[in-house]
Amino acid sequence: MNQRIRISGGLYAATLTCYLHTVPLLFVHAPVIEKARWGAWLSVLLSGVVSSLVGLLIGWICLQFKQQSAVQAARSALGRFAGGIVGLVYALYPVWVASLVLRDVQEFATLILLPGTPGLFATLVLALVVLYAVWNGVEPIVRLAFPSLVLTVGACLILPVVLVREFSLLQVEPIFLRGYLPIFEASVSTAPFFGEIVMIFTLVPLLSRPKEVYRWTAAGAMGTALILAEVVLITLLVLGPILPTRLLFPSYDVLQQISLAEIIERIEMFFVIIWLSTMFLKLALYVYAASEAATDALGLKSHRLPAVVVLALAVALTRTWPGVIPLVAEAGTPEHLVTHTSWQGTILLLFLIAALVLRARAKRRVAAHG
Amino acid sequence: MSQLENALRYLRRWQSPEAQALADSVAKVTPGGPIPEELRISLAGAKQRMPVSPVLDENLGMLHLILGPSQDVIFRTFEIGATPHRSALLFLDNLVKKELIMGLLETVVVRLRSESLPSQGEQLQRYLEQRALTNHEVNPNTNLGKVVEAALSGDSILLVEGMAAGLGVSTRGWEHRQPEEPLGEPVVRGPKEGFTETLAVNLALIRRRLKDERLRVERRRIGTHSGTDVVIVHIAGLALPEVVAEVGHRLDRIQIDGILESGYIEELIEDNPYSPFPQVRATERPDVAAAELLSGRVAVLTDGTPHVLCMPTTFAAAMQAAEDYYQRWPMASFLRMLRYLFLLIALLGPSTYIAMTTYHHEMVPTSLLVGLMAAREGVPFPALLEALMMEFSFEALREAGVRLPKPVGQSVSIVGALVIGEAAVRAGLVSPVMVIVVSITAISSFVIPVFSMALAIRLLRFGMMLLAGTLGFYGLTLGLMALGIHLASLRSFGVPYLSPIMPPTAADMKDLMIRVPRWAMRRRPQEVPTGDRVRQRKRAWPHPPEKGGGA
Repeated sequence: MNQRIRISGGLYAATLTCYLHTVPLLFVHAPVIEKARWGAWLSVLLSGVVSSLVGLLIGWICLQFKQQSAVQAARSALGRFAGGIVGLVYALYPVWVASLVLRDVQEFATLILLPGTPGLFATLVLALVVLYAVWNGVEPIVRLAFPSLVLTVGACLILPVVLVREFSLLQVEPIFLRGYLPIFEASVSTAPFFGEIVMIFTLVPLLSRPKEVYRWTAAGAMGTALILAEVVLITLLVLGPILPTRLLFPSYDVLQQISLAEIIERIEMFFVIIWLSTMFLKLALYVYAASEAATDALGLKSHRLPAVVVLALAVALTRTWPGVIPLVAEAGTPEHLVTHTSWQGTILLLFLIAALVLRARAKRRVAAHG
Repeated sequence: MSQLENALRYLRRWQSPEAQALADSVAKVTPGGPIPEELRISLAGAKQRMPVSPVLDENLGMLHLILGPSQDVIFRTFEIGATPHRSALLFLDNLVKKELIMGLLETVVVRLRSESLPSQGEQLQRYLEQRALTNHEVNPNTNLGKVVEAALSGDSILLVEGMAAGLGVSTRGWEHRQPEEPLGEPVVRGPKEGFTETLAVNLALIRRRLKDERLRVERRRIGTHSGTDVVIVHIAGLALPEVVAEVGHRLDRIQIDGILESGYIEELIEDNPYSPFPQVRATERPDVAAAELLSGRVAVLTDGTPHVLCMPTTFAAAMQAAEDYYQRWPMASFLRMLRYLFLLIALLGPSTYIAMTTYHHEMVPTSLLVGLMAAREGVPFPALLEALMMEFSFEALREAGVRLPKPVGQSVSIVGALVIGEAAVRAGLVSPVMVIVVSITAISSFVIPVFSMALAIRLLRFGMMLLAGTLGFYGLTLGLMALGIHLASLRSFGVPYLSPIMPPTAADMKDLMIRVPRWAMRRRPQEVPTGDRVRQRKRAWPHPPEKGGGA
């Protein structure tokens, strides 16, 4: 499906950064700052490095697929039935994450932006726009990632300038005050967020120059780490190491502190618009990925009907998730870690097996032809 | 012998089942009685397959039947040559230049009076074409369909006894508007002439600017009833043949009764027919059309309208005014940035106000918020309704201003301004701030150089207002995302509509928000598929003469 669409390495990296950084922007602070305190930003960078390495492995796997979609490759490697099952496993993961993202947006919207508005209404409107995006295919979603990333990077560059007056340098502690171990522990707690790099299984087959996958994957993952590290560091500088672990949305609280020359103030909404746009892109990409995987797994012709089903499923799942306080408390817990990483690991493992089978088959073919 | 009998003889001579059926129908008509319209229509439907007869009377009989009893259709019969050949000249009274008709008649009747003309049809045709007729364009038409088409286009058709062809002589000439400054695209600096309703004039206006033998013109006739002449213009070597072929293919696909304006064609050839955004650029300026051709684009000219279509186009092209390239580049760049800013205001101005005053008060500085609330205190409507009322009133005023005669239009504008600006505020229907917001928005929409783009923005503004009124900035963000997805999925003849931003093309950014100096635009835009990228030589920047050289 959509195999004729090709995206440049830069757009691929922009999309990767967009979808990878947006959820942790809200939830990453508490687990990393609690464990690593002033070294939290270093933990995030470390996670970025590990994530890059995983991304390189995925890149290698995708190169074995010869620009087939991952699910198509799994079907040709493992057979239609087993490959179809792998495809459905891969399709279910983005459905699950999409429902979590929908819930995150819903909670943020009803708590911060539109108190009193029914959450389901806000979610349904978002879901409709996401459906429109998915129906238009992956190309516009990927293209929209570029301006979103430009705005995000712009916001990251402006943030230190507009918040400089709020920095409280007296709170600063040595990074390794508690030793090296907390840095690694904090880094592990971000694995569920960075592990979502597995979703590049959908993007890599679209690359116009597949051989550049390693470079751009590393760029995308490290870009994400840099953005998050900066936000965590700014949060620490403004709120210190205690307060962010007690707040629902520390990043938003930091934005509310902006006050420069008594003219530039109360501009958090502009940052929220940028963040919402990246959340939207993430949702659209995940729903697209799930519908594409389901289409390939079931041998359907169009991804449009699966997209409706995927989105309906994701919206339905949002009704089963807990509210915002358990949501924040859950981030970084062992359960959170195990649930996410085991699913991510399973996907990685299944496609790795498919890649190895294809590789072995190709070697046998070469040997047979002398 | 009556015309009906001549026609019957023609149809009996023309050996085909279709002709026999038509002949039977003609035979049923009572001599001297009325001829049914259905019969005329059937004959007209078969005209493309009817060969021109060597018998003049048969041709005249058929043409009389096909063209019907129209007052402006003239059949002038006469004799030519020393051994007289019966002849006829067919033309439409108001589509020809009388002087040319007189000249033509003088040539064939007076000058050939003593000439002995060949008796064989083909020799006679060659003689007339090559030795007798002095007009600049003579085209032989061998079927009656072509004869009728040529006559309806303003040509005169010379039919001679014994000659199985009608010679179409170009005698076109009718009242037409002279090139004037286009009202829709005025400039302070730049050419002041615009396209007119006459295709030949429009082509000449382009040719005058591009004296290039590679300028290609492909003619088509579209519209079963209007028979509108449409031409595709491009520069061979610059426009990609695939794009030209695609334009031709899309034009050939059109099956319609009439094309009265290029807007018909625009809607019938665009990539996404449901989009509010223009996917081809319409211009009234020959200099803009020439610039588009120089960029490797293709132009489509339609007879009867001054609006020339240029394709492919992009969103960024709609933000470029002709004057950007005539003024100095820093000013042009400043104006362009201003345009983008006001584009945002035109789209989001009222919706941002609605979102801020309804949902996000915290964004407004306290002192301003107090003032705003005080101003809105007496207004009984929510901000959304207030804004919708104002916007609809303004749109109605604008529409009335366009439709009404000029003197009345001014009065309506004054009444409208008073009612909206003064009375509505005093009556407490709207707040003064809303009047300011709507006014700024209205001015902003006029800053967009391409009118059809401004229309699209005006339309989308209402959607944004509804989203802002129901979901605040959350709704506004979703609206922008939907708009972004729509724009990112649009293409104009294969070119992404949002290029060079999406997908990003660094080389084309130099003519996006900032218009770099002319000498820095060495290459043609990458967004347009073109056969030749280089626009000017290297090191084209101006500089004073070297030491020891120059004046």
